[in-house]
Amino acid sequence: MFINGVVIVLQEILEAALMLSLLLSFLHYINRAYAGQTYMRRTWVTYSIVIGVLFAWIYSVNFSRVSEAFDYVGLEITNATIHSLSSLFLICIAWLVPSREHAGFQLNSGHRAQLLTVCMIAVVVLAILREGSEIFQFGGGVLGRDEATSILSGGLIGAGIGVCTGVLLYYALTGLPARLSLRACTLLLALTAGNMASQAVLLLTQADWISYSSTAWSSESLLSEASVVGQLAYALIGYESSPSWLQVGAYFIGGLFVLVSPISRTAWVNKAHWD
Amino acid sequence: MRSIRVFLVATIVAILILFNFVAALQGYQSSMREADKLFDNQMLVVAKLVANLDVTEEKLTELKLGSDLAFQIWQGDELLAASANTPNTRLREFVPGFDFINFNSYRWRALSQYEEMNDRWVIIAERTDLRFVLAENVVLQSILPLLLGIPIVGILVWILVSRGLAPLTSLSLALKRKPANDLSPLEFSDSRVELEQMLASINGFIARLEAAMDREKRFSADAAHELRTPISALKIQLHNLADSVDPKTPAYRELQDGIDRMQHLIEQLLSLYRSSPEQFEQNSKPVKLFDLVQELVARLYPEFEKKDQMISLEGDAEFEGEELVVNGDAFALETMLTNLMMNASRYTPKGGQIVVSLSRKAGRIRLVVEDDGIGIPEEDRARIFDRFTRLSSAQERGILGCGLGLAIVQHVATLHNTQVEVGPSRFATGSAFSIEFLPWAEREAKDMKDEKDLGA
Repeated sequence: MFINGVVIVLQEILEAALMLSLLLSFLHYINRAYAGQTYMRRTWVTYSIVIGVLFAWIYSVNFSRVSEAFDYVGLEITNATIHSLSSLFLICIAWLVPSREHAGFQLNSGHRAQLLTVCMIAVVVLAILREGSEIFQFGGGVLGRDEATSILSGGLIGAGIGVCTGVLLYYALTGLPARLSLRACTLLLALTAGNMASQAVLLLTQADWISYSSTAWSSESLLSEASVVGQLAYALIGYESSPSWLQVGAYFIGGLFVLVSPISRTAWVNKAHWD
Repeated sequence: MRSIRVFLVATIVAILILFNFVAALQGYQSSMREADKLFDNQMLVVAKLVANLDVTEEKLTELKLGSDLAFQIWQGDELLAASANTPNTRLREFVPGFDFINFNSYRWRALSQYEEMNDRWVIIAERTDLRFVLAENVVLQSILPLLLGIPIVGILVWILVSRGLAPLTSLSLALKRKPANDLSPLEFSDSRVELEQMLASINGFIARLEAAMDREKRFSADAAHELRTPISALKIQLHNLADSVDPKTPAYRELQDGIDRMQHLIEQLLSLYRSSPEQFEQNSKPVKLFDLVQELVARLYPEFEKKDQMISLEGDAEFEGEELVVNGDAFALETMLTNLMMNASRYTPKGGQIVVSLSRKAGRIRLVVEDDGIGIPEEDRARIFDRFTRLSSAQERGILGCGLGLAIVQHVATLHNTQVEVGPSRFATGSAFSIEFLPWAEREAKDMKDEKDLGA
């Protein structure tokens, strides 16, 4: 029971924590690259977490009602919508992060900074809504049971590992030299956007809204999804050992939209101020 | 701004938690495996015991086995004895060793063993869920203290990191407390090996700064003397020249303008160098802003009168019973105000209006100098504070100036922790320069708060 608590909470917390670390690393990059011109605050993070937790709780108490909608595939459809929106907002973030290509660009002019903050809030709220609702559902089922202490201890260990991995990822990303940090951030952003799109496709396939496509490959023997590394890879880059062709396509398209953004070109192609 | 303390505490605690928790998970899994082996060994002992049982009814009822354990004793196809919670069929095939089986709606760990002496097959089964809970309860006793210990570890790390960073914080405080005009080497008793190089560099920098300041002071004094004297001589010569040359001739007027311009430029340059940060700290004291403005308006009145301009002062010495007092260098403020007012006069045609107003706005003292002169185009407003910047509109109108007045105004405003804003005036034309000062009492409170924040 203890190990179930660890695995379930770790999966959910790790994904949300890594997403938050990634966004905060982007903020750090903007504040470093545009020092003196602008300073994007991080106060929204607390509000986003509170709003996300509130939405997650509302969603979890209405799970049964939601699941009955759309001919009993309501949960799949709602989760697919949440994943699609997350992917969309992540792509928007990639296009809104100011790049060095915009000579004389002022982040504070216009509504770019506000739009960027709104997109980041949306991504965090959606991540916590998605992952938090499952933790609430899990916690609700555990309370009052004999094994509650053992499961909750497992949950705490899982949450601790997830949050600490997020903290270390943030400091690792922000501690890198500027160009390397931006490269890692944009790459992770592309992988996360692709992962969200791929998850949306998987959920829509499960709901039978999209017809099933054949399995593209199976790498279960190389890296099992159930292993610790497999779980970390799932949370970080959306690793699946046997994805369908449609999932692979969605992953590719989601990632591509990020990789063709100006900030990605700044990180990977153009000569920037740090060269 | 990133904090070294937060970085160190967050990363150290995160690494500690991560390693401890992963180790705890690893420990949990290996302990559970060991507990399984222990239970299996226990089953082997029980199987041996059961195999040698007297299978008469009386003896069996004496054998009290819990509901989590089941057994069957077979001789060929005959069931000799069994616990009450087993079916009449074989629990599993007669294959020696362990396996998992399902019956009575539970999953069981089963052991089959052949006892040669009695020619019996014994099957022992133990409920896996109860075995698991029992094992887990034992293992968790070693993991729970880890969870409870994490907050204590966090607090200890915070205290240790804070203690480790204390010399750095003290050094920052010592630097902040050091008056800007104090260019003596920094004495820091709580030095550590890591801070020695930094302290040596700071003191080296202070020494170089002191040398540079001395050079600048000497230059200012020399320049004041060496440049003012020949200009005064030139002015006397010009005055004498008026006896032999008509002062209205263009050549004479241009010469006079040139000498005036040079005198003005030298005075402005000297003002710029005199208002340095360290002199500001040295001369900083409470200044009654209204009294200063009033005195300057009176002093400069003849200059406005020359151009038939009307200058007025709006506001009172007190606002809601409180005097408008700022913390500043009276000489620097005087230079700033003179420049603003003379600038207004210069760029306002004859008969124009100039208004100086003082008010309290959102806890700050607001000073505005505005006129109905030629004004400043919006696109030029950002660069008028640059040194030696003169707008083409002023040059076209033949207005004299050296382009340093507003640079001095900006410089003095910066020394007073504020900035100059320029915009349209209340009149149809002209511009307004506004500066907001922090009142004396609030400035004191802010300085104390800054010091406290640094120490926190």
